Order: sequence, then C-alpha cells, then structure tokens
Amino acid sequence: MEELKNELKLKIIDVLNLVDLKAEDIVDDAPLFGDLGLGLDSIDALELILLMEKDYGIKLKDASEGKAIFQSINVMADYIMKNRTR
Amino acid sequence: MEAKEVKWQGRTDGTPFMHRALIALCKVLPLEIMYFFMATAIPFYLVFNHKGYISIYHYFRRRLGRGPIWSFFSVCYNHLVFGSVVIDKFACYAGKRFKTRIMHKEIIDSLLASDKGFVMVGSHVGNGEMAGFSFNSPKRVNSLVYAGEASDVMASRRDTFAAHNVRMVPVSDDMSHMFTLSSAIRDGEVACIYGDRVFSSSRNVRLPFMGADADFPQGPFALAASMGVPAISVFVMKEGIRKYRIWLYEISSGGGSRSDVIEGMADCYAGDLEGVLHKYPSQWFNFYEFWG
Repeated sequence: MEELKNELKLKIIDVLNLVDLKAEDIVDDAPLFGDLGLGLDSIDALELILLMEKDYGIKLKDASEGKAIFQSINVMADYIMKNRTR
Repeated sequence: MEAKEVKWQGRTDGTPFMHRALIALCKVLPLEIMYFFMATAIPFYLVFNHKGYISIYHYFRRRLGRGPIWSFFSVCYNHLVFGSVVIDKFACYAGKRFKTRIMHKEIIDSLLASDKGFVMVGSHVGNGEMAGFSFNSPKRVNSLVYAGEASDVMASRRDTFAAHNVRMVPVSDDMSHMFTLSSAIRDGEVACIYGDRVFSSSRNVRLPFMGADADFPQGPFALAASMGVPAISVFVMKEGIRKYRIWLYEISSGGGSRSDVIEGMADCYAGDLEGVLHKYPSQWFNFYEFWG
C-alpha cells in the first residue's frame, strides 16, 4: 500500500506538472482539492480522472463516487487497490 | 494554487417572481411588445449598472476605436440587443421557437454522425445559451451552467433543455462537473462549455484579442485535448426579431506539446470570436472589464 501511495504521488506530480513538489511533500490524508491541501482545480481533476483510467483501468462515471475517491492520497490508493484492472 | 476570483457570476438578474412573470408574459404577448417593455428599463440599467455600462463603453472606445458619442449610443444599442436576447431566452422557456440558419452545417453534421464525443465551445456573444439546443442533436448535449442561477431560471432551463436532449451540468466546487463531462464525452456525447469565462480553474491562456491581451480559460480546450476529441466554436447571433444565424468553426490546435495544443486551440477560438465580433459588434455581452 505504501508503495502504491508513493507511485500515485509521483504520477500526480508528473501528470499535473507540480514541479515544486516532491512525493514526501504530499501528506497522505490531506485533501487534494480546495485551499487546505494541494489546491488542485477542475483541469487537475480531469487529469486525475484520465490517470485513473489509463494507468489503473478504472473508469470513473459517477460524479458523487468520483469526488469521494479524490479526497486524499489515502482514499485514492485504497480505491485503486480494490478496483484496479491493470 | 489559489482559486481565481470569478469576475462575473453569470446570474440572470431579477427575482424568482420576476422570472415567473416574464415566462408567463412571453407565453401570451408578442415578442415586439416584450421588447418594448424591456426597452423602457434600459435607462435604469445604464444609470444603476454603472460597471456594466463602463466596461461596454470601453469595449467600443478602446477595442473598436469609436468616438465618445458613438460609443455612448453603441452602449445603448448593445443594452437593447442584450435585453432582446434575454427576452428571447425566456420566450424559449415559454415554448416559443426561433428561425435559425446554420453556417458551415457540415461541421456539426459529421460530428453528430460520428460515434465520438466532442466539445462545443460557446461564448457570451449573441444568444450563447441557444447553442446547446439548436441542432436537434441525437447525442445528449451536456451544457455546463453556472450553479448560482435563481432556481426558477434553472427549472425553466431544465424543462426547455430536456425537451432538446440537453442536460445541465452545474459548475461545482467539488469538481463533480468534470466527472460528468469526461464521462459524457467517453460515452460519445457532447460537452458544451463557454470559452470566454473562467469558472473553476485558475489556469488561463493570455492571448491577443481585439487589439489587446485578454485571458481565456484553458478548461474547454484542455477537456478536448486530454480526451482526444474534436472541438468546435459555436456563435448564435441575433439577426432579427425571431431570427438567429449560427456560425460554426472547427477549432484546430496546430500540434506540439499538450500545453501548445491547448494554447493553439484557445488562440483559434479567440480568432473565431474576434471574426464574429467584427460581423456583430453590438452583441458582445461580457459586462466586465474583459481586457482588465
């Protein structure tokens, strides 16, 4: 699980081009969106949706499910573990 | 990243009672009479909505190079046309229909015939809202709307849109609109988004537009580029009391890196928008300092 979280952080940094961040700067349970956490926006959300699809074979269709999954790295990693097809 | 302040909230003015009354009146009165009543309110708007007046005055003075007196009368005419477009919008909610002529129709025909989804980029010129339901699309059109609209306007829109296979997708702070839009495109549907208004992202592209630099949102173009689907610009321009002409253009990217593609698409869209504004200079309805 820790390996997956680290992989996820590196992918997020790469895909969202967060050049000032290192994996260890991203707190596992910090919110990804909003002012309290990474402060990602709607375009970042789109990139995360595509990342889940391309890298883990997870197609997020339900908006309410999607927003719950992107709460934090912990929640994302847990969801990927349970639902990945790649 | 900080959320960018939204410069203009996109709400329709008036109380819920006024919206209901307007829809009821549109059902029974001819448009000409509705326009007449609307015209009597324009002097009040010019006096009390000073910010909107000034920004449009600056548009005519600085972007179109008109003199002070011509600009003043241009602002009055702009408000008159805007008021009639708003009346037309409520007339649509009341069930009235308008004659529309589509230019470059082959663009939309081939996209609608394809299994692939696409992005339709609208603007705050002419009657932008009509873009979502002017094509009798067999594919569902998912139209991104500002969630802060009065509930009566939203309910009326929902009824009108539903009759034309259009689903409203309200912009949401929790980004749920992005899940809905990406899922819709994946299913071969259409996403309809304004390309001249920043809703929920701080990322813009600064481009030369009408002789000065202005910010355009990356969102609509990033959606098309990321999902590998085509994008078109749609401008629904008022040409008469019950007449609109719809201008369609393919949005090309010019290639390169992902950010180059997004910037190229935004630049292409801005060029199309500028071309349309030269044809219809009075139908610019961004009532804030767009070039601020």
